[in-house]
Parts: sequence; structure tokens; C-alpha cells
Amino acid sequence: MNGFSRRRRSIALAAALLLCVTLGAAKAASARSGASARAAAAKSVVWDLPEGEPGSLDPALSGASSSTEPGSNMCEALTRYTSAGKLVPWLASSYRQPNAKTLVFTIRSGIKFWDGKPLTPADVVYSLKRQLNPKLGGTWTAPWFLSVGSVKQTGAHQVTIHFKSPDAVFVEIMSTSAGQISEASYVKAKGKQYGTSAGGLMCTGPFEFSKWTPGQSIVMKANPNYWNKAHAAKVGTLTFDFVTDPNTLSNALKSGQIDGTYEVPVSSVGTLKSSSAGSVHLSRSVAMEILTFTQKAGPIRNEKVRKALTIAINRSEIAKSVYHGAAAPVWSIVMPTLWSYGKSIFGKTYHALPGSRVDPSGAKALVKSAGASATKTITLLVSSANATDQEIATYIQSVAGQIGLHVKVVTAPPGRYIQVLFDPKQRNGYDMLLNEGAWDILDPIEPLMFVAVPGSILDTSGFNNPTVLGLIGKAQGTTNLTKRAQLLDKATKIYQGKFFGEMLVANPSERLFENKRISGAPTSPLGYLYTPWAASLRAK
Amino acid sequence: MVALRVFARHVAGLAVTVWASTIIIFGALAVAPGSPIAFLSGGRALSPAEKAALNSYYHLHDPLWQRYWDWLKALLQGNLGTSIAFHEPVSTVLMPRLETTLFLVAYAGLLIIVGGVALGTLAATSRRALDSVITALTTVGLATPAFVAAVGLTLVFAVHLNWFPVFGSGSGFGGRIVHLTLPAVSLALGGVALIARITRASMRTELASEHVETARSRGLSEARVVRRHALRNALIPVTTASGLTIGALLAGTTVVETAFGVSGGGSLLVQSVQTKDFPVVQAACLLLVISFAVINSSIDLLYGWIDPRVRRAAT
Repeated sequence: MNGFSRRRRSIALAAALLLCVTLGAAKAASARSGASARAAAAKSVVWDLPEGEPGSLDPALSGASSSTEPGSNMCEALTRYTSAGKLVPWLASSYRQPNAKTLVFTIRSGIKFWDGKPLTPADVVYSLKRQLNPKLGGTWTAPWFLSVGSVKQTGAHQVTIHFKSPDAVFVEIMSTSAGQISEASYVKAKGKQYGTSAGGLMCTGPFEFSKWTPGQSIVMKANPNYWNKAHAAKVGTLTFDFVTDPNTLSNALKSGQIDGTYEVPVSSVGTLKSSSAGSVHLSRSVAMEILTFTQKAGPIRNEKVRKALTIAINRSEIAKSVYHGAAAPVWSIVMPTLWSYGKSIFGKTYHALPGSRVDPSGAKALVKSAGASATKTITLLVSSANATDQEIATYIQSVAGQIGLHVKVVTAPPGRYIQVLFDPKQRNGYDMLLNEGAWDILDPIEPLMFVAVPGSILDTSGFNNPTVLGLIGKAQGTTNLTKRAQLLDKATKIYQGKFFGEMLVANPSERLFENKRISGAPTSPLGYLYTPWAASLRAK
Repeated sequence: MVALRVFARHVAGLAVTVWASTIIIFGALAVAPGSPIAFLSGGRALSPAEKAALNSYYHLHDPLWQRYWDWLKALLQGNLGTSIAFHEPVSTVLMPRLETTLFLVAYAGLLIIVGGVALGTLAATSRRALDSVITALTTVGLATPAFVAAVGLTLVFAVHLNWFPVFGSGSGFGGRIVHLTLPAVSLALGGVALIARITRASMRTELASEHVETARSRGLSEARVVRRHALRNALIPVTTASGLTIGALLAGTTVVETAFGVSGGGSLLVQSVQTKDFPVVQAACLLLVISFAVINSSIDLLYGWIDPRVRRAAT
């Protein structure tokens, strides 16, 4: 009996040992690879893209932060915003707009692509013109390129754009991915593969495209011949990982496997703030959390109901309890971060708009005066992937209940949600949607164009007011910024003060995490958007 | 000859299964509402001209039978199509991820078989105290969902002890082992417990059976009795359960892949379903079906090796 049990145990033990050996080998290997990796590249930084792997790095196709965040360090635009919010020429040495239908860029000379070929006006013309083709499926084609009549080289270093209708905003759009310049011959050679893991990029930025391993990472390396020494990269290698799960990301940041990230998940801000691994920086952003309503009939079509909701929602409370302080309360799509001009004009209206003061009893009275039909069920759709949206929806539901409205929250998987956002037919079952996004330029004309012009990106409300459309159209063609501000201000007063269109709920802060090894990631409102932000990144 | 005929029959069965599943997969995707164009635009509204251009580019308005036929034709030429979301050949998008998933499943499968059989045998042949401990442990294992195990294992072994990375799938064999150990353990936990339970029960039955008594009475050593007479017979239900468990892992890796930031076939499949990336979904499902069918067929063939009676019955 004794002998048997020893033998029997030895079989089981052998199995257990096998497991232990595997685990032990794993541990040794991990220690080795960790040490050598650290030693090999002291100046390499690992960054995360919390929205996951981009579909493409081609600037013309990139709208999501996943593609612009790495992409803007590689491909540079004709203009850019300074950290103070001023538009300056970048790949262009200067620009002028002799009249509202003509824009002239002088292209900086002496700039080379990574492969050594010089940047020429022909590259600029090609990069812009390809976005006029609807077959490209470009992110920026509508609405920004709709006004463009022609793009032509008009001198050794000059490119001239003629507009079909006056456009003074296009030069601002040239600071985004829409204005990022790729090498024409390279794009032509790669065709559909340009911007993919196989095709890569060919641009002029402080970082060069090095390697994209699908599903794993995008690696870029410092460009040793960068034209602007003051803005050259300070780290050798920057690797982007695609961790999307908030818990996994938070653990990876705490353990040092990832050095830093923008867009720290709201739910992780607290634990990362108290972590000794690094610090969280909160700053003003161009992001917005927006409550939009759809074209369906029902209580929400009643302006009194919309006004009631607008003044009943306590935005400071949302910023405090949902965002844990990582948001600013805002109540107009023309929100303060966007006032790069006309501050006093926009500010005066902003502080007088409904929503600037919380007024539950006023809201209650409004609902009462709206009649019995106002108390019918209002459905609010949120994406199941977004925990913050779900909390806000619950809050809105309870506030609505207090003023006599009945809101039902419907949660949809992200795939379904995006279909509803995209397709008016699928929106029929819902009265309101919670949506988040970010603007691209520091100009209040962008939100107004996107919500108030029928058929544009955020037009879900069916708002169609000729006066407002006229004001926005005129503003787009106005180069004088004070005059543009006055026109947009008039439009805001109607859209946001009388129609109570899209309700801004919060202006989430930019949430940047840097561990102790690294520093220098910018915290300006546009943050990582469209500028070669990682050039200022330093590592110990 | 006989073995060859059995093998041929399995391959033919496999081919029919796979073909039938292509029809189901294609049909299900076509019936589901929504368009990949919505994802391409990120929910942004597109002009009618842009919509029409994209629809014709991706053949989204062609009749269903034609799309199926084109797809099948390309498939038979080894072409899986082009991903709509990634603008790249499906094979480029899918293969590295599928490799990771298969590695993860193989790793977890090994843990399940080795760990489950070892624990079950130990429980069946040891005294009551150890048996109870193992039974209690397997109860915990069965009751712990993979994502809970993932959270616990990450906190202890990755964040605090820093033995393993928090996320990623690694490269090379060593790197894979390092990166996929915690995911494989979380994935295997339930399976180990299940196989341990089945092994224990099956072993107990065999140990009490007549042929084992006979073997013992003939004076064979207990170790030989356990190995040759009890364990080998007990392995038949264990093999069946292992095959099903490991097959099910293929479809269930998504949760673990997400929790460990492992970019594998499971998470790609979920993502592609959400973005309506038809070519990727079709290819991924197809390869999952093939993997599952191959595992099942291998198990069937294994029976013959374990139990000669099965081999004879098959002829």
C-alpha cells in the first residue's frame, strides 16, 4: 500500500512539476526580456491608443483619435494651432487669402520626406486633390472640400486654391489631417495600401513610420533629418499599443508596461491619481458630451420640453459625480474652448443662454404648460461600450422624472449604436442619443455647421432654419474674425437660445497619464490632435 | 487500408460541415441589419455620392447569391478577400491573430488535460482528506468565470509580483509563453476542474470494477493496475470531455483576450461583427469551424488508439 501510493503520487507530482517548470521558465524569460529591452532602448517610450487599433493611418481617411494620435507625428499639415490657440503656417511658410474665394500657400523649401525626396507644391496639390474624389471615402471630403473649385501649383513654391463659394475656414481645416501632406509618388505607388500596415506612410514629420504589426503595435522612430530642429523628436522610438479595456490599461500603466496615454478612461482616473507609478494631468479639451434628439415625433419635438431639460440638467453635478472632476460644465455647442477669436462676443451670449443656471422649478412649470402629451415616454439610446454615457443617461432619467418627464434608457451594443447614428431610418425608434466627440479646429463655426446644416454629421434633429443657414454660410466666407464672430453669435442665439438644439452636457477634460520615466506630452486644448505632439516627449 | 478509409470518411465529413457552415455564416450576415459603411465613416453622415461609391466599391448592393458565389470562388483560390475596416487583405489581418488564439487554446488545452487528469487521478486514488481538498478546489474552479480569474491573476502575478506582463501576445515561442501564461491559466481553470471531476469519477468506477479486482488478485503492482487497467479505460469519457472543452475554448477566448489585451481571433471576430466587416467575419467563422471540426475529428481518431474496440467497430 505504501509503495503504491508513493508511485501514484509521483505520477501526479510529475504533472504538477511540468506545470511549475513552464511557469518558472516563463518567469525567467520575462525577467530576461524585460531587462534587455530596458537596456537596449533607454529612450524608447510605449504609449497606448485607448480607442484601439486604427483602420488606417492615411491622413485623408483618418478621423478617429486612434489614427490621428500616432499619424500626426509622422504626417504634418500646412498650418497648425500653437498651444495658445493661434493658427500659424507650418509646412507652408506663409499663407494669404487675397479674397474669400482664393487661398494662396507658399510651401516651405528645404523640407525632405523620410526617403530624402524634397517636399514640392506637386505633393501638396496631390494630397489635397485626392480628397475631392468621393470614391476615396475620405473623412474630410464632406463638408470641408465641398467649397473647393480647384487646387493648382501657381509658382515654384506656391499652391493656390480657388473656392466655388467663399471659404475663410478652409485654412483652419488645413491644420487637421485634411491638410497633412504625403509624398505623391509614394501614395500613387502604394495605391489602396497607403496608410495600412503593409503600405506604411511617406511624410515629413519628426517621427518616421517604422513598423505596424497588425493586432500588436505601431512603431515609429525619430526622424534624424527633421527640418525643424527646435521641434525634433527627443525619444528614439515610440511604440503604440492598442489596449482598450480600462482595467487592463490601468494595470499596464501601473506596472510600467505602458509609459503613458491620453484619454485615460474616466473610471481609472481615481486609481491612477493615487498610484505612485506616475501622474494624471487634466486639462481643457475640445471634447464634448452631447445629448442629441432625433427627428421622431413625440414629446421631445416640443420646444418647451427641450428647454425644460436644458435648464433642469445640473451640469456641474455631472462633472463632479460622473467625471470625478475631469470635465467642465458647458451648455452650448459654442463652448469656451473653441473661442480662439471673438471671446467677448461669444462669452456674453454664452452666459445668458438657458442652461447657464439650473432651474428645476422653472423646468417643472414648462413641462406642465407643454400639456399632457409631454409626459409620454421619451427613449434615450446609449452605447453599452461607454460606461460614462450610461451613468449620464441614468442621471438624465432621474432629473427628467423630477420635472414630470418620463425617460426610458435603452442600451445598445456599440456596433448597433453606430448604425443608428449613421442611418436616419434606424433612428426612428429613439427620441434622444447620448454621443461623445471632439471638434477639430478652434472655431465655433464647426459645431454650428455640423448640427445646424441639414445633412451634415450631427444633424439628427431635422433643424432647418434659413436664417441660421444664411448666417453660417456668410460666416464661412468671412475672413474678418470679429465679423465672423458676430454672425455666428446670431446663429447661436437662435439655435441654442430659441430652438434648444443639441444639448451640451459636459466638456470632458483631456486626461493624460505619464509615468515617472517620461514627461513633456502637451496639455493644450487640441492636445494630441493634428500636431506632432510626441516631439516634445522626453524620457529618462 | 482500414485506417485510411476512416480517415477519408472524416475528411469528407469535414468538408461537408465546412461547406454547410459557409452558407449559414453568409446568410446570417446578410440578414443582419446595418452596413459596414456606417463604421467606415465613424457614424458621420455621408453624401449620397460617397455612399454610392463605397457601396459599389465593396459590392454591397450586388445580389446575395452573386456575393456568395464570388466569395466562394475567391475562397477556393485561397483568397479570403479584403477587410473593409482595415483596408488590408483578410489573411494579413486574421492570420497573426488566429495564430495567437490557437497558441492560447493549445496552451490552455495542455493545462486542462495535464492538470485535469493529474488532479483527478490524485483525487481518485488518495485518502479522503486530499480528495476533499481537490473536490473543493475543483468546485471553486468550476464556479470562477474566466474574467474573474483574469482580474485576480493580473493583480497578483502581473501588477504586484511583476512576474508576467499585464497585456500583449508576445512574439517568438518564449515571448508567447510569457505573455500567454496568465490568459491560458484563466482560460483553463474551469476546464481543469471539469476534467479533474470527470477523471476522478471515471477512475473510481474503473478501480471498483471487476477487471481491476482481477488484475489485483493476479498480484499485479498497484501502480500498474492504476496505469494500465484503470486509467486507460477511464480515459475514454475524459477524452470526449476534453475534446468538447477545448473546442469550446476556441469560441470562448474573446473574454480572456479582452481582459489581457491579447489581440487574437476572438476579439477580432467580435470587433468585426460590430463593424460589419463581412469579409473578416466570414473568414474568421470559417476558420473557427474548421479548427473545431479538426479537433473533433482528431478526438474521434484518438478513440481508436485508446480503445481497440472502437477501431474494430469502425471497419
